[in-house]
Amino acid sequence: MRKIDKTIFFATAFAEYIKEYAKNIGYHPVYDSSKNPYYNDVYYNLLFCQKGLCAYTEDLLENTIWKDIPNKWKNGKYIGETPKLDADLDHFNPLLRSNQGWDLDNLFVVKTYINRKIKLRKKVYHFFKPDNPNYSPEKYLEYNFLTHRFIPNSDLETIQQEKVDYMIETLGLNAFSTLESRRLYLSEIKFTMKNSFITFEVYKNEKLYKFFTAYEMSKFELEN
Amino acid sequence: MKVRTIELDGYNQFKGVKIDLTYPKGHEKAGQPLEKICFIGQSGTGKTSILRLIKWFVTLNTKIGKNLNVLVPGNDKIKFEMQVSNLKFCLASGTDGLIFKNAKFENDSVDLEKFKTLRNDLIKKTLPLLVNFPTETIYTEILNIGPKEPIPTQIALKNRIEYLEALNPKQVMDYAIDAIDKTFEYLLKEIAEHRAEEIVYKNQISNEALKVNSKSEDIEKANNIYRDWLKKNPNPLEKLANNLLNGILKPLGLKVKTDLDKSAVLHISNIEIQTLDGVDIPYHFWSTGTKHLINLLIPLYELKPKNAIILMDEPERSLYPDMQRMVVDKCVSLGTDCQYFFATHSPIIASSFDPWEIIELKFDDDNKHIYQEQYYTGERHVDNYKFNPKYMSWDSILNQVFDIEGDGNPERQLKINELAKISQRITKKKQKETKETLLKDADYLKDVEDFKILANQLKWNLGSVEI
Repeated sequence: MRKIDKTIFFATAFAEYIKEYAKNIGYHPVYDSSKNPYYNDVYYNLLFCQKGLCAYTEDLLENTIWKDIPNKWKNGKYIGETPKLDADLDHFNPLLRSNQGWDLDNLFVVKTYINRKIKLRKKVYHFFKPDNPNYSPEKYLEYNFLTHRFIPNSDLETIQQEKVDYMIETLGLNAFSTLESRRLYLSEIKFTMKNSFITFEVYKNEKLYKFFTAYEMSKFELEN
Repeated sequence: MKVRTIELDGYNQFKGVKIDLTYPKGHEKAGQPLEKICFIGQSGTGKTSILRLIKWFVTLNTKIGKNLNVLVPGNDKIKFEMQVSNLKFCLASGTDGLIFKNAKFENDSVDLEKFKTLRNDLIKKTLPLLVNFPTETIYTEILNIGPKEPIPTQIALKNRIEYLEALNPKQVMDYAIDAIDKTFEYLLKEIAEHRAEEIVYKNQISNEALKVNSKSEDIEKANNIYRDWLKKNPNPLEKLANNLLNGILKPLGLKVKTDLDKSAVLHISNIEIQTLDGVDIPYHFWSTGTKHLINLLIPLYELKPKNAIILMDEPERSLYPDMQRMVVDKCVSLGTDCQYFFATHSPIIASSFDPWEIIELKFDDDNKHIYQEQYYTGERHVDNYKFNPKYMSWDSILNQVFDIEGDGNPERQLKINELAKISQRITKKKQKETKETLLKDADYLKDVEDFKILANQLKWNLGSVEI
């Protein structure tokens, strides 16, 4: 799970709408998913921040339009393409959904399967939030290339490892479909690097487009 | 007859569903109707409903839904494009029956009257036109139980032969309505006739032998007549047994009983089976899987359907996985130019199909409507399908086609996590320490041992492991 920078912000009309609403009513409008006129603004703003990837699994959600999202705004509203993606807006902390349902800080674009089948409304630990200033994948995670699973960093205290284990499961980092996709992707990279004589750095800079964390953590296995 | 497309909009939970049942671009049969189709989807997504609709539209049923406690579809809620030879036509649902939409014969439009004439002419010789195997097949009574009469008389045998000769299969064989065992009378009439005639010949031999002044040459003559007849008329039951059933029954420890049972001739319209040692198994003691296989395969084998529509709902039921693997191919091999529709919950059945042959039905996000999950991106072309069940492992089919999370029980996932952690400890130490140090490190050696034990439990191929 990569660190995500949400400071890149285009959805100013949405921000104004929420600010006004909260000022008058005291809390956010009801989170009503895609029925809200600002849904796409939030969705595509976040998709750009996440570089077209699922915020948790780093699986690819969209690989063509996301790069041009900064150029698709008019008066603070998103006017670009809105293809149907296999991805939903997820409330990282489900408890905030009722009164702060449109809090950008709590929203991420994630794979539909992870949102609806894995994460659901389970409790979360905030230290393991992709945009938490103190979060970094290296601090909390290791990648086991044999099983293609993320596991807690073994340098952490046991109690912390247990919390990371819980979050790995809750956010679907090792969900089978993701794990299989990651296994196939990294295996193909290893084959390509070995037989087309491409170095780790060159591949990263020129070809890599998903599963960045697993890639970085598999440097030794990919090169040997 | 073949179905080309099915459109469902506003019928049951279907909304804007258009199912393309033709081969995609890039296929050698592109644009032609698919020869076999497999519906998959969670219970309640309408697989059986679609099979029922196919039956209604193919047979021009004018009382759609009226004879069942189901919703009568409104005008144009359902549309079927179909094809018989060079006649292509479209029919739609209507509150008062099917509505003729349009038809073309060799690219010329035809009106309703002409369509009726053409369709009837084209399907007149299609026998059967449709065979339906629903999940709950109807049986009447078990025919080979109860006391059997002694050896039948000549008159009884002649009556029996006359009765069998007059039997003919129907154009629509629907085992949701017709009792499957009753249809066996005409499906197996060739066998029954052969049996009855054989007894007539054997009785003639006995009669010669029982005469007071019987002559050996007369007995021999009767014997020769019997042998000549047998030569010209090989036992069709043996053919059925050898060509179809015995190969399937052998793994179940069974075979078809081919010995002549005189008393059975008048009373048994089914085949009989016995153990490989020759012990008869009464019908009551057949396993449900055995009954299902025999009832599925015999109609197709005996009818030799051509240009027919065959509907099979959950063909996998009561079948062990090895039997599931062969059932689709076996059924399809028994017809010629037919269109087969299967509905299944079995990944093994699904693995017999190309991705364009699978129609996956799913509930939408709100679980209110049903849509068809598409397996391709962009153009509907053979190269654009994201997977092919024929090439996939069972794990992958379960995961990607049936959306099952994981590759085994949740306990397996916990054990793999444990394996990942041990392997990570081993890898890290190997990167830091020398071989000599590691061989003295009790924790390291324990991890290696634990890894081996765990890997064996998980059936992890240690030969492919690099840690």
